[in-house]
Amino acid sequence: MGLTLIGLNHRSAPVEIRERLYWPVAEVPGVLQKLSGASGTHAVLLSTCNRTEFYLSENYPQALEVISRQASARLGQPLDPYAYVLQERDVAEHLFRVAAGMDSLVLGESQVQGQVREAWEAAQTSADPVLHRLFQSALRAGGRVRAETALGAGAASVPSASVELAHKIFGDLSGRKALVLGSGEMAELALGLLISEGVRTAMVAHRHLEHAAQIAEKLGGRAVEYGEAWPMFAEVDIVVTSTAAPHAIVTVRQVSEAVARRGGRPLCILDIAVPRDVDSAVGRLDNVFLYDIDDLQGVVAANIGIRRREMPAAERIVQQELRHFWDWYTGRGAVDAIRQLRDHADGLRVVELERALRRLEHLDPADRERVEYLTRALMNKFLHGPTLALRAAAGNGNDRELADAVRRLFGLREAPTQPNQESTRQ
Amino acid sequence: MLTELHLAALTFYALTGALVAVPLLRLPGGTARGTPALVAAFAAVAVHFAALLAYARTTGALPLSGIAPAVSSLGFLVGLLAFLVLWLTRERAIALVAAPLVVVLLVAALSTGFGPTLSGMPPRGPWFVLHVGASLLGLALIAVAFAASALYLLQHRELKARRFGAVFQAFPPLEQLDRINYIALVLGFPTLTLGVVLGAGYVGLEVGIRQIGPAHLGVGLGAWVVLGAMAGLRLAGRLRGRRAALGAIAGFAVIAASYTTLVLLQHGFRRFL
Repeated sequence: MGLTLIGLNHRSAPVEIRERLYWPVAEVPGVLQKLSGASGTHAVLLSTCNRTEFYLSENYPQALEVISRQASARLGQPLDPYAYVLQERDVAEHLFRVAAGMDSLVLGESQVQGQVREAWEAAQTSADPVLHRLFQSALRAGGRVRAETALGAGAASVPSASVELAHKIFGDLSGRKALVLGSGEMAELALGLLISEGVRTAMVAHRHLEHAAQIAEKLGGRAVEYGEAWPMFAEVDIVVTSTAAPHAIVTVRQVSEAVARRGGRPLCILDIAVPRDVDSAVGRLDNVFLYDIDDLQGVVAANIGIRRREMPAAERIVQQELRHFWDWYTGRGAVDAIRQLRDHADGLRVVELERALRRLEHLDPADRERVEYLTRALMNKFLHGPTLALRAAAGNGNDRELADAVRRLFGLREAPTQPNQESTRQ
Repeated sequence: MLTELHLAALTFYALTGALVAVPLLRLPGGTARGTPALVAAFAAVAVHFAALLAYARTTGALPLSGIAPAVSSLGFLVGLLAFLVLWLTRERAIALVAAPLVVVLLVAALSTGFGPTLSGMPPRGPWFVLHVGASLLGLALIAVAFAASALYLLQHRELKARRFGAVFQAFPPLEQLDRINYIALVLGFPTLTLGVVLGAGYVGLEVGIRQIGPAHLGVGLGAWVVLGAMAGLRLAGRLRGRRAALGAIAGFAVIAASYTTLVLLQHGFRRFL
């Protein structure tokens, strides 16, 4: 048995199980080294907040036992109820879908592609050519899905929907100014994302200035008092509100004067608070674009809908890449056998040719060349049929049996694995 | 050959519009794939250029004189500028307005016919070529400002109404559309002004300045003043966003109306264009 996967993910295990089986990427080489020492297997470990999966190139029962034992010890309970085991083609298909974001909690999320790459890079010494090839192919599949479909298009969370809305109004966010009213995890996340998009000046206004200062320090912004916030509506481009006030604190009366001084520049207000912080009448002011939490969730829902509709296109790409990988994977035995068969035949040809040429010393160089050509042509003719049969068997997945038969018939020995030989497509 | 090439260009322009519009209606993948539309737009502009080249070879004159050649040249310039916007910004939505506009211009050119104008054309000097060339380029830039403004108003309406459907997904950001509108208007107005000045020079030299009818003068001046006001307000930073978009659309409408009026008012040798 070849490729094997043992693991758990967000569908098979709750977060309290997943978090106990999470290995930071820095610890992964050590885990793989221990596994290799205990079972002698080649492996890659993909560990994220949503999944922990061991990819093995050979199904050594000993390796599965070691993984199961170590994971159960870490969990403090048996792993079996939460784990799944996949084999051969299913392993490759699963990893390709994972890399493409098709198996993620948030469909089409892009972070997983980087996590798959990190897992592969952390296993540079513990992975064999099959695993290297498997992960390279998975990364290519993921890259193609992202480039050729809209599976990763648009925002899929409320904070990123805030950024998407700001983008739809301003385009490039570099150098834009943002103001945050209040605090709250969602507002901080949204502001953090806006800053990562190039928003230059982030000001945080809070009823308690020291609290504002804490948030501002964390985000690299400036703290201001509530009273200072209203005139800022004339300067800033984006306002994020997230206070705990029981009623609207941003009203037309407070901001209309500042908005009128904007000279027609658009103002994007993202009201993430519940109950809402901004009077809906503010959204009717000229060039003011007001969005509340329902609107942001509406953006997310629309994007998820688009992503779902892209699944068939993404699936086609995964199947194409899977076929390429599987052709290579199943053809490996045939390639070795063909190479051995040809080397064997060529060795015999050379010996017999030299013996014959010693008896034909009267031949001039041109005739000697013709004889050599004859032997080569005969050898190729004889090997043509077996070569084709081996290649066809590889395509059907029956190459191992036929390769064994060829080796027995011609007295060939099993070829040793050559580490870097298989990293290119045959 | 001329008609066939124009028909081929028209088909490619229509195809460009369809390639942008159909994913918008069906939406899946509407935001990700832009290459076919870009290729179709390139093909449209290239074939249209070949058609104008064929006209120049057949008649030995630039396609600037006569209704059909001038309208076709205007369509080509609009198509070329829209293609440049599409290529530089990768925002395909501009084709939603520009492609139908060029199709209408080509239909108008084809229905007027290239044939009768091929013979008996009065000789045209460099003044005329520069006048019509600058005027057409100015008009094409105003048309691009119109296209960007139309998209701006649609996207503005969707954003204000908090609708996150096809238009929201596929249309460019408001500020980008405003920028295109600004550049096109600020470049378009002086180019058009240059065309008008050169036109006055041409008329003065060739046929005498008194030959310009009062209607011609009045309508042309009116359109020029409206556009000039728009460009001035934009340059001064007094007009932007939705109001600027409405202004650009009004300016384009005034230009289109004034040219139609001039064409209807004048006949014979003095026929406009």
